[in-house]
Amino acid sequence: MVKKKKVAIIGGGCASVAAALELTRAQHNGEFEVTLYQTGWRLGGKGASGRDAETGRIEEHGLHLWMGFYENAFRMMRECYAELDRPADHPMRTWQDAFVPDNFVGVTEQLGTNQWTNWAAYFPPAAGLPGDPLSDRNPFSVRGYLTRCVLLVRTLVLSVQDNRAEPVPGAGESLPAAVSALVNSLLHSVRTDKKAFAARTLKYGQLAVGAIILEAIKTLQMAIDVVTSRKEEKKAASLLDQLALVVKHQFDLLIASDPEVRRIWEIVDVVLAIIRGVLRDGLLFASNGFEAIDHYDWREWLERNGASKASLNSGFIRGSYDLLFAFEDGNIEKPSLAAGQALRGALRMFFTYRGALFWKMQAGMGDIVFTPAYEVLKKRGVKFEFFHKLENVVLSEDKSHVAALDMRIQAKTKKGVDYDPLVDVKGLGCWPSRPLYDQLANGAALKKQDWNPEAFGDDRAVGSKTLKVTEDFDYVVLGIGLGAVPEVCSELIAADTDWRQMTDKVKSVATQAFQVWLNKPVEDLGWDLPPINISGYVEPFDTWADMRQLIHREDWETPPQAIAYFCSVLPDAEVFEDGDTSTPPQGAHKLVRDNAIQFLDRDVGYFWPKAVSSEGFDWSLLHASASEEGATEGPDRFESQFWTANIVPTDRYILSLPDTLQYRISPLANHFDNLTIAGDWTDCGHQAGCVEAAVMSGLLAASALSGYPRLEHIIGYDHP
Amino acid sequence: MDNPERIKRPQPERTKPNRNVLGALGQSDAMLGSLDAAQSPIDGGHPLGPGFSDPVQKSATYGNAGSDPFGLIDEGVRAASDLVDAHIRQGEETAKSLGKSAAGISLAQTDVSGLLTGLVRAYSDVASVWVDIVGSLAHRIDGTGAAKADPTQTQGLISTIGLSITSAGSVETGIEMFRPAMDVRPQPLVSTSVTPPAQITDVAFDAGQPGTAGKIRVTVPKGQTPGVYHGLLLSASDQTPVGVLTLRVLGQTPQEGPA
Ligand SMILES: Cc1cc2nc3c(=O)[nH]c(=O)nc-3n(C[C@H](O)[C@H](O)[C@H](O)COP(=O)(O)OP(=O)(O)OC[C@H]3O[C@@H](n4cnc5c(N)ncnc54)[C@H](O)[C@@H]3O)c2cc1C
Repeated sequence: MVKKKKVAIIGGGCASVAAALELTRAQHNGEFEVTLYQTGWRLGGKGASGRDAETGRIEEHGLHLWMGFYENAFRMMRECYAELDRPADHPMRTWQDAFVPDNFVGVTEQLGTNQWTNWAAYFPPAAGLPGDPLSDRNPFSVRGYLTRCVLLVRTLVLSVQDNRAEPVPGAGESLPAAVSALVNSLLHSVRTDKKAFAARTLKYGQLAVGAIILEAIKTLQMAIDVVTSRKEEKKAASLLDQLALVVKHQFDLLIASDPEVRRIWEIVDVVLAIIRGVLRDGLLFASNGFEAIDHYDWREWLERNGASKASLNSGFIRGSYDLLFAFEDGNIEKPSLAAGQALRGALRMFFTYRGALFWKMQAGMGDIVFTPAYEVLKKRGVKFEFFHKLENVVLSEDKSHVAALDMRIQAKTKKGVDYDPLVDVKGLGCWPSRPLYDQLANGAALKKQDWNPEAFGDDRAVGSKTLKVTEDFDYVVLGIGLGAVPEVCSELIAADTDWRQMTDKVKSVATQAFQVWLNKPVEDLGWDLPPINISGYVEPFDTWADMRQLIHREDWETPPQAIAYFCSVLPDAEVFEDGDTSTPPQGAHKLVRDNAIQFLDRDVGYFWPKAVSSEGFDWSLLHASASEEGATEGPDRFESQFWTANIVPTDRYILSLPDTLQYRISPLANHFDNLTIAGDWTDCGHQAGCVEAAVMSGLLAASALSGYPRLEHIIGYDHP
Repeated sequence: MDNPERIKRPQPERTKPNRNVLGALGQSDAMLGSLDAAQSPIDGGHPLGPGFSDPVQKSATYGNAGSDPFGLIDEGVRAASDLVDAHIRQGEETAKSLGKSAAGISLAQTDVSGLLTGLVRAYSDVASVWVDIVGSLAHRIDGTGAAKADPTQTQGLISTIGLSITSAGSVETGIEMFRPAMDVRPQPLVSTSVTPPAQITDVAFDAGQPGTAGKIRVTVPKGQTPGVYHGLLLSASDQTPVGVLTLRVLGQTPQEGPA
């Protein structure tokens, strides 16, 4: 008989959960005996959400969207839902009840000082569903992307002239059809303003010709770069430069005259820069794929390859920084994103999505992702130890392996029974927004003081536990957030240069978010585009998502008419003294509250013109619970809403800064022979702070311990 | 001292993503199906047409490039072909250096040929769409079609080829011609997507009667490993690639997961 291997998984985020699900697959015949240790009362980490006890309202760390290319993450969730086989009347019976396609991406762009405009780009449904089996081996290749990029440019440039193209539902299999649907959505006003149409058509014709002439010049320049000697190259290039200047001047005038022409051009311009860059930097042949350009910032690389300043500042490009919180130290003056990963992300996002570009969860991320995962793991015999905080990873004397794990026990249950973490909200098992104090020893007192075991600096201890190698575990999967690593892994960092470099170089950022519940639909407040996730707007809150789909999942006595989430980075300089992000700061919670109030008063009128007057935001629009209704007036009414400063080290969002990704350690790398790591901060093939990266990392961790999944079955791992 | 009961992690087969040139070319043909259809040129025939084999007079044409915008578009078409040519050469070098045991891996001659096929396909795909963009625009503007093949230049050249397959099981096939050629020499078909790499060697070209299209005859042996096989079609005179023959031997795909 095979000896059972005891695995201690530390942390309960996406990565840990993915590792646990892999190690407990039936095919392993129970070879791995898994115990998951988690601070506090809930799974989820950066993706954790909670339900308010009175209203059942959902409270998140921030906005969470799933993308249509999250093949591994969707596969994991689809397997969970299938294994649970929930009854017909369950509100989230199947994964498709839980995730709903969203085809619109909104971008806000600046026209002049304090002048902004929105547009909603429509990305038509693409063939298949995320997580469907792939018909062949790893299908993502530079060759395929280049072909698609070139096709995209062609279709964009040609279709702006084609007034017949209308969005074709289900046309996603064919890129040209998809692009014409996208173009149509970008040309929203042109299509509705027939009078202006003829004049516009002429302009688009000029755009197309201009684009091609410019591109031909650049192609010539590139041909010269490749095939001629340096001397000749200079001579010819200067002639071409002069030519390009003349054409470009005409072209700039044309683009400046019409925002819609400009929008199309900006996409064309960026895609052309990508094609040029991929060829010029030899990315087809780079043995490390797109990593070859990870020392550049994304904008810098696009600019090197000929993208114009205007395109680099376009809504789409700015949105890509916002979506990844890509601001060093949270400073919006320091946008920074490794070019290779940005390129990989953009190509995966736009060219390999299935179903829809975005998928929206139909309840809190905790309820949709971590409840089913918990239920499946529990059924498979995984043991959960909540309220266990890892304090120190102890190495063996020879530093070859983990000898012990020191745990602080934050709370104990009343009769020593297992903590039962879920509450029922309208038939759905959900995570509460605070511990279920009733189950805890000394629960009444803890409730009274509103004890939060996730709070920065919480040091409550009712005991401690040292887990010992061979006795309590054979293997460790370290699935905590990177921010928590320096504190608990000091021995590993001292013993291993790679660990030291990783913790020095890989950076993270604090985030802030707030949610409002409104007693009027946003349409009544002046919003006239489809329900949207929109980014690229002013700080402090650059991203807004319309979350109306959650209204009926919450449990209000009188339901609100709208729900809106706002999210962005939180600058370290505004929160921490002397850049020390490991010591609990004062006043972060209040700072986010003040930021939110200021945003509603000053900036939200741009989205919801009828929600503000000369006096500022109409605070009576905020929907409060029955117990809070009437208690407060004016900005104080904001107290009834939800906001969060995500400043706890483990909750910091992982950045993909240029020239840092090479320092990440892979879960497959064997630095300590009974330890692997899991998290969106590891070298997992997709180096971005997102659910898919975390899941891929968890799969790699499982593979490191068990040989499964095979690496070629982790979709996109071998992606260039 | 190590505790005797203590178990260590198994050694992983690798610790890094596989992003070498094979990965770059690993596009499944099934995924590209819809794109391939969209790539077909507006006027029939391959957009690379005869122009592709025309040597570009660099110094002369670059000097004239600015005189008229449509000339510039023509230039764009040719420059793109030229650029692609250069990249194909770069690809050939890469493939050959891999063959010479780069990074400690020695590739057999058949692998090199498979790699070359992939490289040429990758570039011709990109090039064909690119040239198509510029060409079809020029066509819209002046109504002539820069990308349109000139029939007078194609006399005596083979631009289409028939196919004759002998196989016990089901297969799917396709021939893609990059440019016309005087005579075609098909290479053995190789698959790098199956382990161990497999080949189909019984591939021959039959020129047929003058004035009729030639034919490639392929015999797929019984029990051939299912997978996608590619083989280059070389020009007999200068040994440069003029097309590619793709053949998919159908069969079950292996199950995933631990045994
Ligand atoms: C505001 C915000 C918005 C985001 N939006 C999106 C989005 O829209 N789409 C998307 O794909 N991604 C988004 N992300 C990123 C995504 O949430 C993360 O990439 C993902 O959740 C990371 O999972 P993980 O398992 O790597 O780490 P985590 O989720 O951080 O999990 C770490 C776990 O370890 C536990 N832990 C930490 N320290 C200890 C300790 N000492 N002892 C015991 N347990 C410990 C934590 O409690 C947690 O459970 C967002 C992140 C943030 C912060």
